[in-house]
Amino acid sequence: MKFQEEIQMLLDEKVIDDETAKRISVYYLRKRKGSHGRLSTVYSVLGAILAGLGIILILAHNWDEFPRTVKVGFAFLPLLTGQLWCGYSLLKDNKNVWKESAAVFLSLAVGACIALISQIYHLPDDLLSFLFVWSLLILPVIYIMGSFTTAYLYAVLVTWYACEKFYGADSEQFYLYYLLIAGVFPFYFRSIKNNPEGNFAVFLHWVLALSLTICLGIVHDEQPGLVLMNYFLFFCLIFNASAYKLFSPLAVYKNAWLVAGFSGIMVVLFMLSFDFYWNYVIDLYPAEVFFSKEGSVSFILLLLNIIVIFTLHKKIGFLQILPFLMYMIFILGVFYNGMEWMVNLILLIIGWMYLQKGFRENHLGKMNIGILIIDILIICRFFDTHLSFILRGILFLIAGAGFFLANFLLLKRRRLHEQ
Amino acid sequence: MNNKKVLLIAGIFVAFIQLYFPASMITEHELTLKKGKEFRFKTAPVDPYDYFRGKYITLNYPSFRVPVVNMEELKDGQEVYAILKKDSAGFAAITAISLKKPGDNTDFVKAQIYLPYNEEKYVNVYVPFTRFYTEELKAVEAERLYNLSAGDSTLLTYAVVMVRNGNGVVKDVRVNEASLVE
Repeated sequence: MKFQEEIQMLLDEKVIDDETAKRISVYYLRKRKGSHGRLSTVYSVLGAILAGLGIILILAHNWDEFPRTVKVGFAFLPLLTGQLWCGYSLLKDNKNVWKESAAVFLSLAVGACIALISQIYHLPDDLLSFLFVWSLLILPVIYIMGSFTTAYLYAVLVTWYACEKFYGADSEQFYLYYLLIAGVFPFYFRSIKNNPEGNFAVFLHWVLALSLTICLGIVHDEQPGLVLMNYFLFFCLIFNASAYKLFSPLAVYKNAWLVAGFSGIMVVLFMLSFDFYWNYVIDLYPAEVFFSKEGSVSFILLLLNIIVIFTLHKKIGFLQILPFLMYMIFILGVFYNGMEWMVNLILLIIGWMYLQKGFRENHLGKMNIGILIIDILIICRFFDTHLSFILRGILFLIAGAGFFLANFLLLKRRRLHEQ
Repeated sequence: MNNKKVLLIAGIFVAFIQLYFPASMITEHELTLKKGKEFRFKTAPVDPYDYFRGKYITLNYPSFRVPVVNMEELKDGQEVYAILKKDSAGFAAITAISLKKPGDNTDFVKAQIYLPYNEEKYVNVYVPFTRFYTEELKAVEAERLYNLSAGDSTLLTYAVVMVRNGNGVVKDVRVNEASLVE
């Protein structure tokens, strides 16, 4: 126990008194206990996942020596074990560790059982209905057992299903994904209310933010000119929603909605800073912007943005007016050429804002985000062949020098401050 | 306590659904195996792998070309009922397709159709039972057998499929009367 030796030393040197020493000991012991609890949860869940996967693999061997009835029995064995384990831990009011492990074991056993039956009866490959049925059968487990790990598994299965079924298929039934993923949200809100910062909750923020982002591409589109606008409004929406009182105190890396929203906004803006997309936009009829299917989706997203911004944001900054600004620019783009320059200007403003904010708050991270945005903007312009080489060269020189200079100045100011 | 009771009751209900679904899958296919009629489909096996279900042999059937009249009503990938008969050598043949479910006295399986690229009035019919799961070590041996039979016209491979009420379950794959499983 190293820290106790340290405390003894501090006591001997009379830096702290007996009372303080005791308080420090209690504090560290309690902290250590907490981390033990977390570790044992992780180990138990990992154990259950490994056991579940092991069972899937052992069953996949396909034991030809056994008659069919025995094989069918095998298929049900893990499922029944999982169900009994879950029932037992519910009945005994076991700790979360047990419930979590039992639930994830059961969830994997459900998949194993269906897979094994397809194997026994040589059913054709039907990954889609397999994923669909598996996810529906484990959805109630999330709620009954209060299991985060099952929620992750469910979200992954639903995302996989949506990608298999809808990516590139241009199907009008894509809303099925949104219905399925909505199934996990009541659990999500209920559980993050208690502890939005817990490891389990943080992982769920990320899983859901990623799932929604990945599945954006399944949305059926007849108007390529409108799709990127809808992506943009969606990213604005989750970015603005990240200011919700349960998310806003989170550290940046824990606030998945903030990170996914902001990165999404940036990626789309950089794409819009080229002229190729605006060629699609100018081909649109003005009526299509409002009355097509995609057009009504953008309108709904814009409305949602308004609701979120006015309920969650006390101060309205540049990033909050972005959805409206871009929507206006987009409508202008239907009539006029050259809207990419407006987007370049917006990117420059955002970059400059972060740069300034970083400087003001003495925050290296924010400052470098600003520089990064401006630099990427310049790199993007490098590919625009209608700028002269000399102009591009000068822009690059300025960008590089600015990067060094800004970091140098901030570090120097810090050093002065410390002195 | 009350909350726990609700959860337990819900849990039992869900457990039944979880058991019911695989059980209903089993019943349908078990009935086909027990009460279905046997057909032999000529095949050529190869051997891939499925993450969840293990090793299997892909059963490739020679294409079933079926003449049709009402081409306008049909589209690629459409599910139809394929009417089965036995040819003179005792192997399965598809004589017609139907959009409506045939009567009890007819043997049929659900199948998919694909339209030809030319103007001719026929469709290619694909039956769904294209997988035969084997024990992982035997799949290698099955692949070897396939390579043998591919180069040897005296070897004949075929799938024994039980058919009932539109459902088909592969019972065995044979190479010249010898079961691939044994």
